Amino acid sequence: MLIYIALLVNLACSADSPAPDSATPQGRILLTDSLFQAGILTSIYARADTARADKSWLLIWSDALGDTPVTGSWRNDTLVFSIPRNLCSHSGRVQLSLTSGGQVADQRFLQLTPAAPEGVVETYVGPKTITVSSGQRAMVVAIPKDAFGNPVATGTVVTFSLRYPGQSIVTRESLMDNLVSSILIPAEERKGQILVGATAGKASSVEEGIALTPAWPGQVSLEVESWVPFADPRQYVAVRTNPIVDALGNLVADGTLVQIVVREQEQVVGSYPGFTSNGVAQVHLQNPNHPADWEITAFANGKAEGPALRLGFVPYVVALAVTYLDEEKTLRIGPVKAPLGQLVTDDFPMEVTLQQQDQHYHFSVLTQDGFCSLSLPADFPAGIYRCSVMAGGQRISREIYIR
Amino acid sequence: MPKRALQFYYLALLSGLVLHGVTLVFTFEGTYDAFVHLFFADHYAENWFETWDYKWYAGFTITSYPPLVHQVIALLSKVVGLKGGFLIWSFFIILVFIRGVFHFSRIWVDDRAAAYAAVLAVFSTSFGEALHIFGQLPSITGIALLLNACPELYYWLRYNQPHRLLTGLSLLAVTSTAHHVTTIFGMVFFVLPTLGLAVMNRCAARIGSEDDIHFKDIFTEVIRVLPRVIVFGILVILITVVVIFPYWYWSKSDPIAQVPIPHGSRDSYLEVLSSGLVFFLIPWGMMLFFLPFLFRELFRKRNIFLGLSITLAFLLGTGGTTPLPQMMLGETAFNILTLDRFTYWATLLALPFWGAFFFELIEGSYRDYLERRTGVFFHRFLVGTLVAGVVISALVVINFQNIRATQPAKIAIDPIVNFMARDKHHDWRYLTLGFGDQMAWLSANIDALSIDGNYHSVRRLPEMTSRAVERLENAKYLGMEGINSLQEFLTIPEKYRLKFIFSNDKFYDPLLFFAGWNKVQQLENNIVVWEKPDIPTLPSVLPRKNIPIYQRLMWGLIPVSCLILALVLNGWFSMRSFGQESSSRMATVLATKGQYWGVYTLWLLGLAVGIAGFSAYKGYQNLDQVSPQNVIDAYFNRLDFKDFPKAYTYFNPDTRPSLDQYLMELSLEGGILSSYAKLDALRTTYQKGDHPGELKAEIEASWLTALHYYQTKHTITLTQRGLFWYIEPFQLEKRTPPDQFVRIPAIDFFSQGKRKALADKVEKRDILDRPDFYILSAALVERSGQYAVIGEAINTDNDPGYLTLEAVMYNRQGQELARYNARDAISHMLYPKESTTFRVDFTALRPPVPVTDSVPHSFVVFARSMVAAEGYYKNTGLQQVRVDSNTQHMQGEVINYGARQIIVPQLLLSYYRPDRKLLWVEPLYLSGGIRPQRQKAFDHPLPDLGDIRVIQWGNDDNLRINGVPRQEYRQTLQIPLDVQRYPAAPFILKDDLWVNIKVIAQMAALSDES
Repeated sequence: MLIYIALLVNLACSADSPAPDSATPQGRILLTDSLFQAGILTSIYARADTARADKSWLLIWSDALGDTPVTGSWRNDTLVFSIPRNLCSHSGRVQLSLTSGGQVADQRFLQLTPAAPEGVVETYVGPKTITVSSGQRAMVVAIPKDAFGNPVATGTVVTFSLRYPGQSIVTRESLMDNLVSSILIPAEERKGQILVGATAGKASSVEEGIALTPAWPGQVSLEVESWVPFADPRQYVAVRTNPIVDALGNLVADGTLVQIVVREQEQVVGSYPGFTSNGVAQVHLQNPNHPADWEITAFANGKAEGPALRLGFVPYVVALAVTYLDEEKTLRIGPVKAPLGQLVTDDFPMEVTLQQQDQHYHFSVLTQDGFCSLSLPADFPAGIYRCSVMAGGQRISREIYIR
Repeated sequence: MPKRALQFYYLALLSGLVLHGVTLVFTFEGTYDAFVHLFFADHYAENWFETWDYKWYAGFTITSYPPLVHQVIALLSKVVGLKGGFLIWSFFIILVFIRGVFHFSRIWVDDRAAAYAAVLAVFSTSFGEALHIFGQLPSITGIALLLNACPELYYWLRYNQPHRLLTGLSLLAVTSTAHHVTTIFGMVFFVLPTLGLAVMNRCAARIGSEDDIHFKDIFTEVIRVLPRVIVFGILVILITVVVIFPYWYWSKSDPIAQVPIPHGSRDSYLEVLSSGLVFFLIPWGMMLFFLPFLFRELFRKRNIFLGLSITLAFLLGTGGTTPLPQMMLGETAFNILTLDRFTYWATLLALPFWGAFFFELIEGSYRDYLERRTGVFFHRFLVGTLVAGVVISALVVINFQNIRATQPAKIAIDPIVNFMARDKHHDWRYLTLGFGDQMAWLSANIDALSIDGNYHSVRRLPEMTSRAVERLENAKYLGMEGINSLQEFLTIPEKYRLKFIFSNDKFYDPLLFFAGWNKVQQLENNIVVWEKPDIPTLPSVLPRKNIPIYQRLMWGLIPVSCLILALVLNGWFSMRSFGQESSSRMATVLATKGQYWGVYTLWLLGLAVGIAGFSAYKGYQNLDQVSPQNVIDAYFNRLDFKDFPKAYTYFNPDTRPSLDQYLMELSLEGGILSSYAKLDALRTTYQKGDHPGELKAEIEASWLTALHYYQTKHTITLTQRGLFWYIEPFQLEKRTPPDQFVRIPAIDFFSQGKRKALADKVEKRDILDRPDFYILSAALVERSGQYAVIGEAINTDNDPGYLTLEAVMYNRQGQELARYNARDAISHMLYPKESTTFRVDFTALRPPVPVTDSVPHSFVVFARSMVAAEGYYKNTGLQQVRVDSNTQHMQGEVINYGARQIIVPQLLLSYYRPDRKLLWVEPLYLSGGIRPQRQKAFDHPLPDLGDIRVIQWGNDDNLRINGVPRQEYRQTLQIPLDVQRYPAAPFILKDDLWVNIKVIAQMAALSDES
């Protein structure tokens, strides 16, 4: 480029460069053929008007990359233009113009063809993830090149090797067209990695991969992992799904959402998201605080709910006593006993309601060592109240007089 | 000049350099403006003649601020670095300032008093505040030069010395190049009184006595000098226009049109005591004690012009305390100007008389008066007290940052610089949060561009100029206005190519998290880096505004040339007159007659007693436990500032648990209010308690969070013991899960990024496909005059995906009205087959080009997805969701069945009609966190959804996913996407209202978890 600029500057500024000759320069490019392989053309000859020998004869090389002037030298009465290697190594159509004094004496066209494939086949893949047995297809584009980096000639055979998960290697051939070759890879039924390679002559690609991912999850069923059948809201029911597969038997992807729904008397009372790991999702559901029959189902978004899992919860509290300590203005609840005869655990929630005609006073208290107490405010309105205590599915009720 | 006066003057220069010079090294980095000026200086250091800076606000013109100080620092920085340059110029200006005060004082009072004034200038609290708290170096440079220019102009007019006009004008020219506002207002407040004094003294010289001057004499003298003064005025205007012509050109061609930024100097100082302290009490400082003396002196005949000037400045400096400043300035000027500068100027104008006062007190007639009336001891006591007061108040101002932090702790910027320098991070814009003015220093040291900035006058983005928000960086201090502005930028970051946020304040964490930003890492300096996925890089060519080349040359050459010229001229004339006392200078001996020393003494003592008494009274009033309201305020404030041990002391010692128990229970609470909120207001009502000496307080607390305001209600019982009130301890959440040890299976994801360690290249094999998403439904709706797009999207892929959902609204002509992203009413990260509802709010109409009609008519939704490796925590469930028939509130419980603590739980509430048409989507944030294996109840009023009007439903054409119309996705993917299956199992609130709820959980860092 620098030489070119220098040349142009030289031409433009040269003191002895007069206005272009009015007479058209006489010259002719000597070519026996117009088809050459890239990289082998080293020089071009031209016959030109020797009377203009003192003038600057230039050969303008015009290809896809632009125009490049090439200076010549006289050998007897023949002009010899040495073609730089970087020019003749690009395949494609080339226009040659023999010029002098800014005027064109002759023009010829060359077609430089690529050499045989060599080195690494350039490959492009997309999409890199397709869903099994879907309408999605991945395209693999391969561009074998010759030693100069030119895409090989149209019609060159490119061999694609494919290996679907669990299958043997298959090959498919594709011809170079418009500088590329390509194949479409359909999704098959089994999830995994499709490995792809391409070769053309001595050239080979590096390995490409296409992930075949599972289709939409199928029906989800549930099983209980562990649970306590009491209405103790501190406890959890651990449920897990069956290994979830798609319609083709592929385990769904890790992290796939499964929605778990709890119904009580046909009303949704709980909704829990679970996420699969190795096809199984696990969630912990909190026990109800009252005796209940649960119907638990699971489903993947867009699919119908699977078969229901039914669980019944019986009262957790089996014995409950309430005493009103008049002098301390305190309700003392306890001992609160569970089915095994044990005291309920600490911080077990109890709901206390004091009712007098239309007035309701609601309190929440927690147990400590099987007991809990509720101190009423000093200015709590006096009167006869119906005191109801509810805990763990057990409810007792009695009248108390508050002074 | 008396030798003693000269000694005092030199002492002032030395002490000024020592006191301010030494301390400035430690204080300048904590000032408000120093780093801003360093940023500008860095601009000139990098490219002197470049007038466009890309680093802030999507670019701004640098000619918007007079350049001298910045250019000088830039020059010095080539040798000593930017900070060194700032300090060296500051040292120089401190000396110039003291010289200016001395010479300025000499035209008003005698040399001894002027020398006192020079010494007192060193301890001036207003100067100290400007230097050590505000860091206003250009303003200080301007005033220092102006003070030096005034005596020159005085001698020119008084004694007809033409070369003084030359030196005076040269100094005024430099003043303009440093701080043009000082020149403009200085002409009124400083130069006019100076010229007025020259006229008065000419009269006095002509008549022979100051006392015999009458208005007619003044008028005659004015007529005599008027032509010269007019020429002078024209010259000043010309000089001021020419030396910073590009500035005037900018201000005319690109006028400031933005909502006024609130400034404390416009507050009523009686209502906002902190503003009164900073903008009135500190600048006046000990000078308040001599106000009667000052005004008595000012309203002598010869000082009358200065008297008017100081009175006007004093009045304007009171800000919004009285309506007078606004009436005088007009509403526009009142809202643009920062009025503290008037107080600043008034205190400097008063310095000569402050010096005279001390001269009289220490060795003049006031001393005689005091010794005669009260004895030597009292005189010495008074002198000692006043001197101590002056010194201590100056030291307090200089050390103000240590007493009350004005800036965040110093941030080491190297880790941020390194982060932005690697992996082409500077291809995107960044934003800082909680950096204070250090963001300007970061900008100066980094090549990357910030969407924020620290010079609000040059903001031109409508999103910024339409709000009274100075900076996004400190949004939380500007209330909801600031938060809303920040939210807008965080919601549509791709518009600004904003990808990285450096956060120094976890207050913003919830907003960043729920707006879809990912916490990337914590740098070595504890700054947390947040990143927004899927943001395009900045284009290689950014728009800029060019100014003509001649203006660039003017801007680059004239200011420094003016400085050199002024130095040469003043130096030359000073050397020529060195050692020659101006024999013609009229002695300006202070008139001691007519002084009311007794009144001044009474004022001194009265003010001291008043301040002491008021302080004691307020101190008692503010004792934490002296009243029920005080103890409540104190308790909530301690909680707000996380001073839990102190908060604990407000509990009744008889009934409170141990401190350890209290701290443990408190630590279990978590949540947005305890970790990310700022207390805004408390409203309390009281009822009689259950027992004598008890009160029940119903408290409504307002908390500002980065998301929105929270209102919480608390019932607290208060007990009085002796003089003090105490809080009765209350029960915090206490539930015991059944199992001590829990096993939870978990999945994790990892995206390698670049598998090969290549710095400047991303291999095509490392680029992942965009996951397949599908928009199930969408609609453009209007509700109470606000427009939004609501809808539902699902991740149909097998990879977890990050979803960016953008909606564009058009009018009937197809012109774009607004473009916004879904912010927090969406779950941005979706696992395979997970769906989310979304709501895109069009918070403001911002058409990119003017439109003929702003009625929304249609919309398009663009969904973009990326593979997300950040696994969000989703081990949560919903239970017992119902409507309370009494309150019409939706109630339910969120259960955290996993193994990690949720710090901020968000519920995404999606309301449906029974025909499964989506009605509305709203986020609900729970105020408390949820520990593992526990649940949290929620209670939320049912919204009135009757006023929702659907403008357009979404269809296959206007719903696009990763650039592809929805229809193509449906045909290719062959997936069961029957809209009728969504929601599959909703909670039925009423016959005609269903709700589906998704829990989005912001997690604590593992180290924060209990």
